[in-house]
Parts: sequence; C-alpha cells; structure tokens
Amino acid sequence: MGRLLRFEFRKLFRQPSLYICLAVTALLTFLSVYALYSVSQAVMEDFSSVQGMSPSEIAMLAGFSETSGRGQMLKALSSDNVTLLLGIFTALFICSDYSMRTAKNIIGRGYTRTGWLTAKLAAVGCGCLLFCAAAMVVSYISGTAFWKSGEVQSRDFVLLLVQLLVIFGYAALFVFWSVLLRSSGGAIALNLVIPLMLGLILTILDYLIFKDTETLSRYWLAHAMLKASNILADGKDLWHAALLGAAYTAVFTGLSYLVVSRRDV
Amino acid sequence: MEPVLQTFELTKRFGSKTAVDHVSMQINRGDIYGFIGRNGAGKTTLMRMVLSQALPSEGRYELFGQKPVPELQQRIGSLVETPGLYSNCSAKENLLRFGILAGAEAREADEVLDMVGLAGTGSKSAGHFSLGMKQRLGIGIALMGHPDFIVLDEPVSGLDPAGIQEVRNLILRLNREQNITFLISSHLLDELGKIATRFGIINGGRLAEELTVGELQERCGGKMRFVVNDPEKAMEVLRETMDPSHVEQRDYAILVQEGTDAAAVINRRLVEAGVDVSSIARESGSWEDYFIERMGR
Repeated sequence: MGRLLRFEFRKLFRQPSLYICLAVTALLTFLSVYALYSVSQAVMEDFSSVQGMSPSEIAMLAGFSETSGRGQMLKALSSDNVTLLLGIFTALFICSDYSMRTAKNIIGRGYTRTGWLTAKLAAVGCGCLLFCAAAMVVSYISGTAFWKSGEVQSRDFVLLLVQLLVIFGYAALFVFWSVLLRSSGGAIALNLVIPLMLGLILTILDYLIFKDTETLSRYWLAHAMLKASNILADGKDLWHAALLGAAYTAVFTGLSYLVVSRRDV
Repeated sequence: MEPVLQTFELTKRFGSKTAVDHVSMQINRGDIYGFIGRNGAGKTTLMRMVLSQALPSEGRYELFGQKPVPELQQRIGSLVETPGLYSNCSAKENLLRFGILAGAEAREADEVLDMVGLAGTGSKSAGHFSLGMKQRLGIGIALMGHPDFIVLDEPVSGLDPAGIQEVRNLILRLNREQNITFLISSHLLDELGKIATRFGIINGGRLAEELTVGELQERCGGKMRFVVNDPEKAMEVLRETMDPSHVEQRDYAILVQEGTDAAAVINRRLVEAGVDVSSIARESGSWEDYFIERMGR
C-alpha cells in the first residue's frame, strides 16, 4: 500500500492539471470576492448620506452580511467554482490511468484493484483539501484586503469541518462517475452537468410535487453546503449537512469499489 | 522443472463469446515461451488473465508453483497490447513512477534507459515518441524491479529491423544471464522461432499444442539431405534398413526423415554399400507452414 500511495502522490503533485485547476480556483474565488466588493461599493454610494457608519456597517445594512475576510472564507466553498474545478480535476486524475492505459501496468504488478482505488481516493482527498485551502485562503486574504479581517470564532471550525465533509461527498460522486465512465471527456461533462442540473431539477420537482422548495432539495449536496456556509446556521442544519456529506461519501465510495473490483482494466 | 506459470482450465467469456477456452499450460523457469495464434485467438486475453488485468470466468492459475498472491505477481514485468505510458512525462519519469510500484531503486531507471536505447531522450515527453520508442519504453517499464518472469505481447511491433534485432538480443541476454523466463506472443513467427525454446499454439481460444523446439523440428518434417553418386542404389540400401516412407529421392539427393537414424550411421551404410556421399545437410521444413496449419487457416 505504501508504494501505491507514493506512486499516486508522486503523480498528483506532478500533474499539471492540479496546478492549473488550483490557479483557476484561486482566480475565480478572487474575482467573486472582487465582484461582491464592487457591488457593495456601489451600494455604499447610495448609502453615503448615512453619517457615522463604517464601510462594513453600510455593507451589512445593505444585506452583504459577510463583508470580512472571515465571512468570505466561510462562504468560499459554497460557490460552484470549487466543486466544478474539483470535478474537472478528479475526472482528469482518475481517468488518466484508463486513457493512457497505465492502469494495466499497476494491476499487472500485483496490486489489487481495491488497493489501487484506495490510493487514488487518498490522492483525490488530498487534492480536495488543496482546492478548499486555495479557495479559503484567497477569499480570506481578499476579503480582508477589501473590508476587514473579521474575528475568527471557534464555531467557524465546525462550519469548515462540515463544509469539508460536503466537499468530500462531491469528490466521492466525481470519483464514482470517473471510474464508471473511464473517459476524461465523459466524466468531466457529467461532473460539470450534475452539480448544475440536479439542484435545479430537484427544486422544480419540489415546486411541482410538494409546492415547497426543500422536500427533495435538502438531500442534495448543494443545499447542505448552503446551510453549512451560513454563519447563522443552527445545530440541526449543521448535523443534517454533515450527515449528508458523510452519507454521499460512504455510498459513492462503496459504489466506486464495487465498479472497480468487478471490471477488467 | 520449476514451473513459473501454470494455468488450469483457464477460461474467459465475454457474453456468449468464449475468448479463452479451458486452457491448461505450463511455463518453466528459464523458458522463452513463444505464444502463437491468429488475431483474436485468445493470446492477449490469456496474458491479461495471468497478469490479473482480466478476471477469469472459470479455472485458475498458479505463479511459481503457488496461488497468485500479490507478492508473487510483483515478480512479473509485462507489456501487453499498447504500452501504458504517461504521455506528458519523460521516459525517465515514467520509469521512476513504475519503478516505485516495482520496488526498484531510482538508479535502476538510468540502467534500463541504457538497456532499451532511450538514454538520450532527456526531458522529451513520451507522447512525442515514435511508435518504436514507446514500445522500447514499455519494455523498459516491464524490466524495472528485476522481474523473474516477463510477459510480452507483440514486443517488436512497430520496431524497425535494427530495433527488432536489439530487442531479440536483449531478451536472449536477460534469459541467459539472469535466467529470466519469458512468455512472448508475436505474429512474426520467424522472429519468435529465433528465440523461443518452447511454443504454445492457441486456436479459437483453445490450446492446440505445446511443444519444444526439438519436437517442432520433428513435426515440421526436418530432413537430412544426402547427395550421392548412385541414388537408385542408395534408395535400395536405405529401404532395406529403415521405414521406406521415411526415405525419398530427389535427383541425386536422398532425403531422410530426421529422427530416424543418425547421419553418421546412414552415411556408413551407404559407403559400405559402395555409394559415394558427396555432402550431408539438414533440410529444414517450414515452421511457419506448421504454425499456420495448427493455428487454423
């Protein structure tokens, strides 16, 4: 197992797509924060008649509740930027061994399919952490530069932990599609389409069937992430998001093992 | 004979099609086993099964006389179908990566690069290599970690004549100097005939025959050619002392089926009968014809 991990991690850190996707994540995160800042500046001008208020207070008054480095950091993972780029990277990383036909070299050397997938999952997990770190660091620094740093509270770590669980849920889903399809193009397409489409479809179904917006949608990861990135989220919401993230991770990891262990390479 | 690979009724089905049909074969230590069959005969599928790349539908196999546990599987190097390479990496980086899996030391990569003639490729990525260079790199990957058994599927495919000769010499050197066992499939029957010590012929997923080079020569009807001054008298003498169906006359030459009597014995008989023998030579039958007949037309 040690050799497999060394092999996968060497591949991970020498994969150009990792650095490209990380750079794009950082850039998109910065642009998102900058866009918010620009809008808040415009709003500030409208509120300029209000005397004795700081820019942050004005922004808060206008509805921009997370105008600080801390607030932006807690919201960083809730944007589609991170999940979409993670989806692209995961598809490229997992499918490369199928498209370049290197999977047979690995299995031919006596490594089990499950051991190979375990090493891959560890590498993708590490990639997940890097994407999250890139998004959070960039949003914290840019939020601090545009507004203020904000006071980090101990509860923030709980929120971040739950968000990480949700991101792992996404990653497990992306890994599953990748090992199922084995083609980078197909897996990228699905990894891009599913997060965008599924939330929308569930919302429409909720409206058509249940006449509300949450009955089905609350079981989708995007909904869980939205709850977990809300500074004011209550314990129940956090538990729900954490359990959902863990459940997606467990189910789709299990399905990936099933697919990999039963197919030829 | 220490078996390196034994298969027992190994079978692979793809839906209703049986690609490998109850194949039982044995490869012993030190063999260069030439695996011969037409396209789609099941050679590659069988190789993929013994490398764990494909899961058998039925039957089993043993490696080095034991159940194929991962530790034993790690003693095998392989190149099956097209070489699996990281196309955005250099030859050395490819060898270093797969060297990790093979438990090889980093310096081994340079030795192998030299061995397969890719030492001068530097940082050029494998994706820009010619077909022959990719093939050499695939062989290099198989050599990492000093394997005891190497499985090569069409190893000289895409190589020029000089490259084919280099690979042939490399295989012979590794076999003689390091006693590495090889299982090699190739469509170049003549090329395989130059290096293989045993052959397995597969036809329609079934192992039609397993035979050594000696047995092959015998079955191909290898003949001894005696050029004599009196062929009629020579025929008369030889028909008296051996099976007449093993002797035939062609002008001044007498062809005797190999494996009947030693050339020296036949020569003495003819000389004692007063027949002058001006030359004795071995007339080989066509291995290719024999293989093609056994592989099914």
